[in-house]
Amino acid sequence: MLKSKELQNNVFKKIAFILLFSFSCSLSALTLEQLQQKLMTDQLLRGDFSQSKTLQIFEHPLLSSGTFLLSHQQGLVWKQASPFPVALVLAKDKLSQQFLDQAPDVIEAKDNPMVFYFSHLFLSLFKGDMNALKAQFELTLIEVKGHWVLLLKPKSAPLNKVFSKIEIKGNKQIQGLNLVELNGDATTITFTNISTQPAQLTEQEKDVFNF
Amino acid sequence: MFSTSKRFFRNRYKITCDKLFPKSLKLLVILKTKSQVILKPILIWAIFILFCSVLLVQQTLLQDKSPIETNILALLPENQQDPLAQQAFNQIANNINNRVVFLLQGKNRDTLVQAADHFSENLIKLPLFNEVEAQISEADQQAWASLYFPYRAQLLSEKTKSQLQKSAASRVLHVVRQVYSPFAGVSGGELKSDPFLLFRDYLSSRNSSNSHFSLYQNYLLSSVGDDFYIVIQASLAGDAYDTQLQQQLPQLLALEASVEQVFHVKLLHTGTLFYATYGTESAKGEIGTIGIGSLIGVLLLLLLVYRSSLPLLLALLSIGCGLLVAFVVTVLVFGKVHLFSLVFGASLIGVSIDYAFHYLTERLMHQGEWDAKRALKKIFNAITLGLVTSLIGYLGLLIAPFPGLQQLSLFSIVGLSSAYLTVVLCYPMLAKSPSKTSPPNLMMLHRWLQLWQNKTLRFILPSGLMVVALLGLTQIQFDDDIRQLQAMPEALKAQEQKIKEVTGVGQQQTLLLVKAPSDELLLQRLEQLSRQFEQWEVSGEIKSFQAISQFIPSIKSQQQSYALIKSLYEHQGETLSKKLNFSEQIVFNHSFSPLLIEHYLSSAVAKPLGFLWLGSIGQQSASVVIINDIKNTALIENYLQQQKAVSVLDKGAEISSIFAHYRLFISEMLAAAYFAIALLLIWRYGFKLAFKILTPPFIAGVVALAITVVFAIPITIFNLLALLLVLGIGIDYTLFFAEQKQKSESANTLLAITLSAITTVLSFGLLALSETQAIHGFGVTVFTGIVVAWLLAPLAMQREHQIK
Repeated sequence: MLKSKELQNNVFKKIAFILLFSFSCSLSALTLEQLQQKLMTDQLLRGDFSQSKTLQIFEHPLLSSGTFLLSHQQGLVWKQASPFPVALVLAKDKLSQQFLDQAPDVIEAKDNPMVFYFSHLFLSLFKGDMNALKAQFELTLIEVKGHWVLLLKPKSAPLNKVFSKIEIKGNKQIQGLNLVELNGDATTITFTNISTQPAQLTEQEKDVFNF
Repeated sequence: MFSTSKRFFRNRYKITCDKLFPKSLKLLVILKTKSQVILKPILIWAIFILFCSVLLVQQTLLQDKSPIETNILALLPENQQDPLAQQAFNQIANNINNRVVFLLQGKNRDTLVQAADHFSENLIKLPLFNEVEAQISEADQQAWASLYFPYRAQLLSEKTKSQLQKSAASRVLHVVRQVYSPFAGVSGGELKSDPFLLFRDYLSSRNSSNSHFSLYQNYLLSSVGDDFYIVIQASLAGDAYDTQLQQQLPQLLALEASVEQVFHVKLLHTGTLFYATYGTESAKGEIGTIGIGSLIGVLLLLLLVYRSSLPLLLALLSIGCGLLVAFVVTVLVFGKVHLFSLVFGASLIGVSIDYAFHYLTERLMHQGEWDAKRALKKIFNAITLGLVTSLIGYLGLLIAPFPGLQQLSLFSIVGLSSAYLTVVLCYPMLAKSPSKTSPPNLMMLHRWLQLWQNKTLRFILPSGLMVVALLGLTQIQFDDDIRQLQAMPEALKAQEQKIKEVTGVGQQQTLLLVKAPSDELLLQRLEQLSRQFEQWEVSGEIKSFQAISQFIPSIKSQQQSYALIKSLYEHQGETLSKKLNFSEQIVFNHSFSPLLIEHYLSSAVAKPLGFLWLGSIGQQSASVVIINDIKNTALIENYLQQQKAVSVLDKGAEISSIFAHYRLFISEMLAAAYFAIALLLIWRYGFKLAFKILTPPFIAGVVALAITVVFAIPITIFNLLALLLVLGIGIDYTLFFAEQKQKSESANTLLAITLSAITTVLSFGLLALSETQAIHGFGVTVFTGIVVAWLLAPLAMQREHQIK
């Protein structure tokens, strides 16, 4: 019983994959290079995020929300407002965490390479840095009527020991991320109210990256 | 006295024979007696030489391993005071010498990876290496986690430990923040197995030392400025000092060159192999230059002066026999010959030829009344005394418990004696026919000798030289640094420095040997040291350090961590579970089972630094700690002096102190040799002549030292060895003048010693061209010494009225 179900499942997966694949071959006008171009056109993104962590060990999903600022040059600012306020700033080789009015806690990449490994991966996902992603994932791009999904399958350890797949969704800009673990646990982040203006960092925003 | 009675006896024997036997029988008897007197020793010698030739073939061609030693350290005495330190050093040195590090440098990451792929694939195919570490396998990447994971309930970094001791509640807050943070990447699986996220903190605290590199396509990649770097390591298939292994280096260089060309990347390398090969090559080159140079010099001189083939062959015979027997005997006694001995040995050519010159000059100058045996008798005393005085110097070195000096002196003693025996035993038989070439014009030499009849010159020249030399000597400086012995090519040094820079290893490593009665106590001691070193790391007194306790905590520390973690679960488990709405209770269900050094050593993670653990040496457990770049030497030295169980493993300093010790020893030997020779001379010649014989080589020695000093060469034990040689050779020159009975012979003697001085100067002058500082200095000292010894030798000439 179980076996046949599993078989069915497998067959279904295969068909789905072939379908998806042919779909992406025939219909998608969008190539990875073009997607990269597309994501690079806006050097600055501001918007809201909402995150949902659905883990088996939690009774309910963990929800959080706030605003973000992505600068292709400088890095990422992640301001969580709920359930508790925290400001995270990820620059090239530094990560700062600030809670309420406490002094920011800064970690440098050279002191903690493991933390930065994942932080940089997250930033690559966000920016759609294809070169960085290609090294660690098999990429499949699907596009239907201006909406695209980039499916990432981890190729090697340590990622393939944790994630079964990662999806990035978007139209003009990135709309969301979905990180699925091997046991089905998932973290979904949705981006809304994205604006690209002003196209330059304000003085205040620039200051945030100087720590 | 002895020879006259012998002649008398022989004459009587002849007369009796005449009476008793018919003529034909008499011939036979004469032949027989002759063979007894002369043939026998030469036959024995010939058989001995043949035997040595067979041994040479057996020692070189029929051996798997070359009998030539190239490791400089093999020349030096072992550390007698501290055998534990010696053993520790050997273990560490073996490991370090065995490694080769490559660094690929390029502007494009992906081309660099392709280059690394191609390079590492071909690297392992070379017979030079038995292991290549290029891409880090998944298993290796996971190795740290797999080693520690089962013991996660007893491992805490120092930082987390103190945080938990201060406030366990803050840990809950920390976990909640991490779980929400998208940057932290906390997965469900991780939270389940380690709800307080302690393990990731421990792992990253262990990893921070490798921070210069990150993984890219499983390669260790680093970027500095615009350039990317990939590091690849390899282990040698044998000993870095093995000349056969070194001969395979060109294959590696060819591979490197092709990778550089095809992928447009730069390839740097470092490792003992490269330095050792360079040393071998330059020593070989030097042996070649010196050997061939002095051989050509000798041949040219022989051809120029004797203008005939027989002297040439005879000279080559004595040189050949000398080198052959010296090599064979040295290998027999020591098992191996050091390249260094061979470099010095090659210069023996110029010394061992002296005995031949005296004989051949006799032959050249006495064509009319040539008697091969009588000629030998004439020079016999002088060359025997010459040999004995040379041996006196070398015998002293043989006593010293210093393998390098012993080898050097054995090589010289055997080589010189063999050359001497060849002259004494073979020449009278082989050079029976008188010389047919006309003697050279000795006008110049006669004039030079005539000058020496002048009393003022006899006084002014030596004393003037002496005064000037003493002035020069006031600038004397000593240097006992090991680096004198090793040629250090700039290109290799620059590569090593660059690799050290990129990999973040300090420029200077200090090794500490730490001992304790047991493994556990040793780990505790290492932890205690590490706490101090960590502080110094932060305050910048040292760049960094490596100790095994950074990877394996002591059981005591594991127990402390276990207790802290247990209490954290018990007191904060519920709070955490509520904050994150865990569906299940957080419970602590780990039992304590110690993580031991054996677990670490048998894991793949021990590959880079496991060699620091020496295990039990004698009754103790021992380990080595590496400190990179000590900035505040005084502070650290002071601290280390107070640590009873810690000693600094400084081979450089140890060798310097050995050199300093032997520099004194050789000075004493030199003084003793002068004294012994003086006694010998006084016994034979009386005080006045003995003084004249000894003065020229003495002044020559002083001048030689002074000139070396003037050339800004610091004085080492090798310059003192050179003085020993100057004494030995210089006294040969004066002895010949002292031994000659007729004034007319002076020019002949001067011709012979001039020839030998020219060959000696040729061979040692060539040593002065050596890249190795020690050999260079040695060459300069001998060169000057011999020139001065030759210049002053006529001082020992007995003046006309004295001879009458």
